[in-house]
Amino acid sequence: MKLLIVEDEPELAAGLGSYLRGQHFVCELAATFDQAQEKMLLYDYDCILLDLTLPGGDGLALLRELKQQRPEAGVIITSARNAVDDRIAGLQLGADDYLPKPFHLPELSARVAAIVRRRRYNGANMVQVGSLMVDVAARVATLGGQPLNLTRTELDLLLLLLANQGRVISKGAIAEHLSGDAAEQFDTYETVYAHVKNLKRKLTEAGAPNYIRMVYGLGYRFDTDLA
Amino acid sequence: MKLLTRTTLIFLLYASVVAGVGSFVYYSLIHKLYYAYVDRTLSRRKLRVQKALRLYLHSPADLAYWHQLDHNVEFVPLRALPARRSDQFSIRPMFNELTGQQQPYRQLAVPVVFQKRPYELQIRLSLLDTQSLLLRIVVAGAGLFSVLGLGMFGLQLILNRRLWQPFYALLEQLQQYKLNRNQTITLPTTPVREFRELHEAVQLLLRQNQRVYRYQKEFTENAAHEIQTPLAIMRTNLDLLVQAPGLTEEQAGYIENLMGVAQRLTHLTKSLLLLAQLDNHLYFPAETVDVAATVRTQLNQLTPQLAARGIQLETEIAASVLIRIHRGLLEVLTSNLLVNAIRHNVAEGLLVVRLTPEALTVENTGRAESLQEAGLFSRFHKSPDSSAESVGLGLALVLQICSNCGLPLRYTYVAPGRHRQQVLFS
Repeated sequence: MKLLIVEDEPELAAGLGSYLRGQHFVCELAATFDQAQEKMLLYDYDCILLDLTLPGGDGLALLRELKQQRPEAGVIITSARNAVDDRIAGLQLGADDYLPKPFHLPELSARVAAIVRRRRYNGANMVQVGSLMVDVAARVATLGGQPLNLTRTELDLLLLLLANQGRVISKGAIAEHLSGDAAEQFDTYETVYAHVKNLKRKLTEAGAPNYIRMVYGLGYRFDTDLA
Repeated sequence: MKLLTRTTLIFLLYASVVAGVGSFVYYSLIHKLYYAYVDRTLSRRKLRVQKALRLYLHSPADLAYWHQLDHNVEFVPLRALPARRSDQFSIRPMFNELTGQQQPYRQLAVPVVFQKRPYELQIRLSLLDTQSLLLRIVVAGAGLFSVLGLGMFGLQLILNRRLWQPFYALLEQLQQYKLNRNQTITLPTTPVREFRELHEAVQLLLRQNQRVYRYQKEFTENAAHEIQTPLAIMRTNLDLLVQAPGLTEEQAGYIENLMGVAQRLTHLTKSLLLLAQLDNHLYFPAETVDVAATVRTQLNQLTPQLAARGIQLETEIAASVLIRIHRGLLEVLTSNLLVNAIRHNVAEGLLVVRLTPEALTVENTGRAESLQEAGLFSRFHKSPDSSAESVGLGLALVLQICSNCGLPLRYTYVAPGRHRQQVLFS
C-alpha cells in the first residue's frame, strides 16, 4: 500500500514516514507544491497526507486539481491552520479526513488504515487478527464467530489498537481518539484506563489471548506475537 | 448629576438671588422716587399757598374757608413761632370722605405768619391711589423680571442641549465602543473648537488602541500557529520514541512526563488560538444542534473522572433542546463548564446538571467563598486548588463563546461552598 506524505517540515515528514513504514506502508515524501503536484498526478496512491501550507502554493489548490484528475483518491488533510473554514473547504473539495496538527501518530495511522480499507476492499470492510474479526462498517466484532458485546467506545479503541499492531500507543493518543478535544481537558487518564480494562476483560472472557499489554505507565500495545 | 442639570441649578440659584435682592432694591427705588415726586408737588403747592396768603387772604376766616373748600390745606394756629422754619414731611392717616375710612396722607408742614400770628400750614396729598399705583408698578416689574428670568433659563436649556449635543453624541458612541469590532467614531461637524479637539484626541487614542489590540491579537494568533508545527514534531518524535525496543522503566517515566507536557502545550495553544479567533469575530457557521445530546455524551465521557473523585451526579436533562450554534463551540462550552465543575469540586462532592429549553445550569460544590470577585472568567485565572495541569483558560473560553454567540452567562454563589454557572438560551 502506497502513501504520499506532502509535508514541508523535514523532521515531521521523516517522523510520519518512519512510523507509517513500520505499519507496512510504502511512503513517498514531497516537500513542495511542485513536487507534490508532480507525484500526485503521476502515480496512484492509496492515501495522500496533505499539508495545507506549502512552499510554492496552497494545499487546497492542490486538492482541487487532484480531485479533478483522480476523484477516487483518498486524502487526509493535516494542517496547523486550525481555521474552521479551511476544514469545511477541505472536506467539501473531497478530502476524506481532516487532522489538525499536532496529532498523534497512532491516530494518523488509524485514519489512514480506515481510508485504505474503504478504497481497497470496497464495502467489505473487515479487519482480521487471528480469530478476531471486526466488521468496521457494521461495527461488530466477533471472536471465532462469537459476537463480542463491545460498546461504541470499546470498538473505537479496538480499531485504534488494530491499526497500530505491535506499536506502543500512548495514553494521550488513546484519550484523544476516544473523546476528541474533551480529552485534552483532563490531566488524568481514568477514561483510558477504564475502557482498556473493560475491553481486555471482554476479550479474555471470550477466550482470546492476552493481546493488549500495558507498557509501563506510557500506554498500551496490541501484540499478536505473544512470545 | 448631569452636567446640564448642574449648570441649570447654578443658574437658577443665581437668578433667584438676583430676583430677590433685585425686587427689593427695585421696590425701594420706585418708592423713593415716587415720594420725591409727591414731595416736590407739595412744595410747589406750598409756594402757591404762601403767595395766596400774602396777596388774597385778609382775615383768619378766609383761612378756615379755604380749609372748608379744600381739606388738603389747613392752617393750625400756633402759640409761638418755632425756631425751625423748614418744611417737614410726614405720613399721617386721616379720615377720607370718599372711602369713609382712614387713609394714609403725605403731609407737608411749615410754620407761616399771617397777620402777625403764627400758624402751621399743612398741605396734604392722599396716597390712596398712589399706593395701588406703586403696587402695580412693582408687580409689573416683577412680572417682567420673571419673564426675563424664565426666558433666559429656557434659552440656556435649549442652547446647552444644542451646544453640548456633539459631546453627548461622542459620549454615546464611546459607551458602545468595542475595541474588537473595528468601529469608527464619527462626530457631527461642530464649530466649537473644544469639541473638535476632543474628537481628534479621542480618534487618536482609539487608533492607537486599535493598533495595539490588532498587533496583540495577530501576535497571539501567529504565535499559537507557529507553535503547532514544532509541537507536532515533538509529539511525533515522542510517539516514535516510545516504540524504541528495550526501554527501561525510568526512561519510560521521562517520556511519559514529556508527553504530558506536550499534551498541555497542545491544549494551551489550541485554547489560545480559539480565543484569538473568537476575539477576531471569525465567522463560526451556526447549525441546529441538540444541546441535550451533547451534554449527555460529555457526561458519559466524564463518568470515570466523576467516579475517581467520588462525586455524586444529579441530572435533570430535557429530552431535546435545539439551539442554533456552531457545534464545535457548543462542545467546548459545555465540556469546559462540566470539566471545570469536576476539577474544582471537593472529594465526595456534588455536581448538578440541569438542562431546560431556557438554560443550561451547572452547579457544583467547591471552595467556600464566592468566586465572583476572583476573576473567575478571566484568562489564565488559576484558583488555589487547581491542579498543575489546568492552564486557566477554560472559563475564559466559556465567557468568550457565550458573548460571541449572544448567550448570557451568569455566575451565582448559591450557598456556602456551592457555585452555579448558568448559560441562558434566549
